[in-house]
Amino acid sequence: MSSISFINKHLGKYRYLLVSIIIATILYAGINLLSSLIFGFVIDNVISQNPVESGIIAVIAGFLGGVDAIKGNLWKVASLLICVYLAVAVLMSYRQRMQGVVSEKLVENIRNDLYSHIQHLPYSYHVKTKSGELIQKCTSDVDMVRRFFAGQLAEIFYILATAIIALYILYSINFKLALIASISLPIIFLYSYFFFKQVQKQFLLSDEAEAVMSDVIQESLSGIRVVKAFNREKYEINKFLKTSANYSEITYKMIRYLGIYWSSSYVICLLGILSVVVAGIFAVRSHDLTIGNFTVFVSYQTMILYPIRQLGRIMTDFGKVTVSLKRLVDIINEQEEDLISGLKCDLNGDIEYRHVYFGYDGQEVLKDVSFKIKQKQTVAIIGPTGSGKSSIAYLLSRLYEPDRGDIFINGYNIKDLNKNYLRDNVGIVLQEPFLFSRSIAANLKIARPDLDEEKMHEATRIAAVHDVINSFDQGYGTIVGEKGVTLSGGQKQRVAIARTLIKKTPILIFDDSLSAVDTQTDAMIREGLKQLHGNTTTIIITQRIASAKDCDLILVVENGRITQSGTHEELIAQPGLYHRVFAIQTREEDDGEVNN
Amino acid sequence: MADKFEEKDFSSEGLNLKVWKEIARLFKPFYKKLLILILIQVVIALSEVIMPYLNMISIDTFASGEGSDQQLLLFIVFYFAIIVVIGIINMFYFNVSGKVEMGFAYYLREKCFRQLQSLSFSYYDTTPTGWLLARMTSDIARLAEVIAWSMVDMAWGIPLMLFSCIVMFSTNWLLGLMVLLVVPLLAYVSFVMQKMMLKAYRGVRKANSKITNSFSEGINGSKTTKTLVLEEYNYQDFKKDTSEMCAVSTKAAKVGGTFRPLVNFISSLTLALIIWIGGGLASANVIGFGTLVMFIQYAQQFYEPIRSISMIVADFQLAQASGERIIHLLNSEPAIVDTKEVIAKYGTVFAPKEENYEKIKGDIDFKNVTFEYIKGETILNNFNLSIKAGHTIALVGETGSGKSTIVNLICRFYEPTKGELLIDGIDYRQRSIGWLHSNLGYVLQAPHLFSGTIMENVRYGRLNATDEEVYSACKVVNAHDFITNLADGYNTDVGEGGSRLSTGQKQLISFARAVLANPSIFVLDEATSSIDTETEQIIQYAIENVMKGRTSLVVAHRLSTIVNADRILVIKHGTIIEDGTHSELMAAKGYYHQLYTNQFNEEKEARILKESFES
Repeated sequence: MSSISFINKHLGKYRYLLVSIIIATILYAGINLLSSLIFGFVIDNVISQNPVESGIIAVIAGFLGGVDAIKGNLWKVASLLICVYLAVAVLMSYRQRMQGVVSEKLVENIRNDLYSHIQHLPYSYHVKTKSGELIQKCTSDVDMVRRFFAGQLAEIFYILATAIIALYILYSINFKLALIASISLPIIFLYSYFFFKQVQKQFLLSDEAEAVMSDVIQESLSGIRVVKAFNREKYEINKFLKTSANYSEITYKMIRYLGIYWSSSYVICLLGILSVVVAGIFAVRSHDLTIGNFTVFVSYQTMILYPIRQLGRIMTDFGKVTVSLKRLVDIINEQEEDLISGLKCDLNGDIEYRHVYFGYDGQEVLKDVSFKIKQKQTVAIIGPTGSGKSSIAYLLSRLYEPDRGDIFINGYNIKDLNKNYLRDNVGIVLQEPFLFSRSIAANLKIARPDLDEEKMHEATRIAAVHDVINSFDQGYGTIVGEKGVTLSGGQKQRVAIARTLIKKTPILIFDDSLSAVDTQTDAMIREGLKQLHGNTTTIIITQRIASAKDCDLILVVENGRITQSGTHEELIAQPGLYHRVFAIQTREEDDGEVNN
Repeated sequence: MADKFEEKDFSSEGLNLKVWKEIARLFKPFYKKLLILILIQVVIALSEVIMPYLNMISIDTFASGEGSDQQLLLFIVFYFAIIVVIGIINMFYFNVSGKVEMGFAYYLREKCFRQLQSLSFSYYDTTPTGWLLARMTSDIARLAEVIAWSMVDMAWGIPLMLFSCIVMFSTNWLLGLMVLLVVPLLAYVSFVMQKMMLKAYRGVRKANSKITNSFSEGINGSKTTKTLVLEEYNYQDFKKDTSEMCAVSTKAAKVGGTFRPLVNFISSLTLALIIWIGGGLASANVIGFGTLVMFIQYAQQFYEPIRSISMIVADFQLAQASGERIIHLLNSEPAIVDTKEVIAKYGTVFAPKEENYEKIKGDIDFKNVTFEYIKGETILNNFNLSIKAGHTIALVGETGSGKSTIVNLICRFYEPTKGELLIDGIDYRQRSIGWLHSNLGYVLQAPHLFSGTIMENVRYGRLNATDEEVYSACKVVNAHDFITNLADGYNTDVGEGGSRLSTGQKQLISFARAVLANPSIFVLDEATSSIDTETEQIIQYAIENVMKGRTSLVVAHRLSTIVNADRILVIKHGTIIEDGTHSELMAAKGYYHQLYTNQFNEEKEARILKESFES
């Protein structure tokens, strides 16, 4: 998708409103120029009694009943002026209000699309993307686009329409003088455009200096214990002041640049006006120009020059808008995962992995993994960090797809299944679960909003976290997550376990999700799980033998391969990793504390 | 969702004079520059008032054919001179305003940073770093910007309107009156709409921060979202936020989009009046065309300050909120301060009198110490403990048992609520915070390094240490080898927060830092989570070397690190339930014995798994 079609799509039917805004803007730019013409008309034709020459003036004069009818009845002109101003005000107000509507609707659509899209991007995208950068794009880049449509776009049309119409009128009044009036326009435009291009470097330098300063503050605050323990308050202040002074200096330099631009461009504009004034004086003296038209020249010159200067700035900003748009389009162009097509079959049954291979970033993670799990079994997958045991679990809920081989649940190949449905039936508790910034109750009910209190407490009791939650002042109403109470790693894991239990899925996976829980609580939770499940197949991924010991089946994973499988009794009877670990554990128990 | 977290809106409704009084007090060092700025603005206003007057002369005097060529030349030169003056004074204005903005921001940042360094841990416990950072950066930037630019805009608007009045009334009082005729109406409209606009903008800001939060959650929680199939649920939730945002923003745009055209229209009514009345005067030759044109220009210029007032008021509202937050920070009282007498003798942490620091031997005594973090929640009650200089003491217990509190009290990160804590027999409050901390070595389990090189990080322990001393400190903790094996050796950049090093390496450097400080009291706070076996092996050697010959306190989670301690204290609910050496406690077969056996087995398992993986 290109930037243009991106905007077009999200504008939807509001693109017509945008067109009407631009038409209204051009209209009022034109009408706005009328008032100066009317002043000139009053001076030249009404008061000085010169004959009416130009077309527009003749129309105005005719509209008011001819020049003679106006003389002595200037209230007629005043009323006409009021009508002109009213028309300008109405059109301008239309532009500003509708700009708000269009830009807000546009970004609402963009935001919704972005959010939904990001939600639907595959797991692998989220693993490799830096979340901070992504958030930055979704907020500041979107705002950049909003600002462009909330004013700058129509402003470009306003400035161009004003300049073109005004110049047309000026050229039709006096060609030579109009030529003089036009000279400063390209000068001031190019001057502004190239100045802001240049000054962007200064902006960048200032931003960088600010980032350095923020980093020092951030580090000093997050390491405040170290700072205080080492008595380094004074040192920190000196370090901070250096970066703060540097930032102030660079930014001040930038402000001075802006000052030079501001004052010099102001001078250019004023010189442009002075040249028109002087040339105008001579033209009036030599009767090439009436006094009324002289005032038209002076006021038009003023009305064009400052906006043209502004145009230079808008055009440099436009460069930034296109960059922002490009970044947003890049996100949208990432492939979403298909969650809704595919079969919805009964998944109460056995699980089978058949010659599954899987890798990412060119690294082979799983090699020829095959095993069968019977329904209602509790299975442990044990192995060292990095052995690939978590990947086995992710493949089952299709967070990742295997490179080769197939996985079956109840005889159905999971690649034919509807992903939403599959994940609704395969509950995974991640090792580092995320809790949303809302109450604990809301976090628990997130997957089952209709859940009653009793069922919720049942789940939290099994996850051994009910008492912990009740010990908080606000109980289940305690806000957690980024902006709330910070839970310990173990507490978070247990809330996440309860949250998954609530879904009552036929398959449950614990991805090392008891690692931050102490051994006793771990045992308690496993005991609780046993009572809960009549029909549930449970897979426990762990590094602890204690967690695996009582399982119906234990799979030992080493270097991406399943090297051993069987029950605890079977595994300790054969040589291998499991036996070695177990042997050492029992020896310790025999030897007791003498070992030290 | 009703029970979602909503950010507290800090900005107060109306004008808060108390806040501005405080800001004015903080701004005092810049009064002189402010005065210059006001003068500059008066000159700028004056020059802008002269322009229409010059245009009048150009029409009435020169275009009409009067005035000699010499006078015309003089006029052009004068006009040109005014332009040059405008150019120079505007450049000057940017320079001074820029100086005020950056100077005031720098001044405030220094003040706030000093304050942050003096605040105690109890403050940091309740205030997230992110909030403090926002105060130090965006809040201060906004306040300084508004004061240096928007406030000065007012200094331009008032003289502009005043000078315009003078010129207008002295030229023709009737036309002058015409220009001023709509002022009451305009004031009324501005007042009414201003309130509506401020309210609308506040709504927009609130909705906006909600959207930012939603994005942040949606992105940070995306993995969990996938496992729970919440994509659609989250999206529906988010759509509510965006449609609310769209509604309030559109409303704000509508109010704002009415204000400016309305003000424009009302102020241009005066133009109609001038053409009507002024046109009549001109036909009757009472005034010249130039005067008529001049009044038309004044009628437009006069209302410019009023048109920009909506932006200025909105700026001030934001600045007031920022100011409130900054002042709140500056007015926070540090919980731990030295008495006047102590400061007189030992100085402050910023200006210490190190010559008066006594050497610490290392005897520590808790005398009937009671402590509570929050009033009414007692952690330690009448706690007594005596530690001999040079001993290594290990503190063992569950999370919340009070073991970290004991260490925090010794470090004087907190002070006893009741009772006293003696170091070398004297209540430590009779000596300064700086005295204690300059004799303290402190290592956290999650090591905190600062950006910079390894050399700089180690030297943090003693700033005037030579390179040789840094090397030998690193050798003591066995870090020298891995450091010299790095491509840049001691000049290796550790990255932000030490991110380019492994946890074990960071830990070693934080030990070397503590060794270099050569402290009398050494504290190892193992915090909460466990470290992996690999790291543990690396640091075990370092710990033992560091503890030699000093009073050492170890808050232990990993028991294998403390078997050689002189005393192990098992803490439960703020009391010591077991006290003795490792073998004494193991023989007693109590709580410690059980804890140790469990952990030992688990660690062995993990090690075997690890070894098999590596082989």
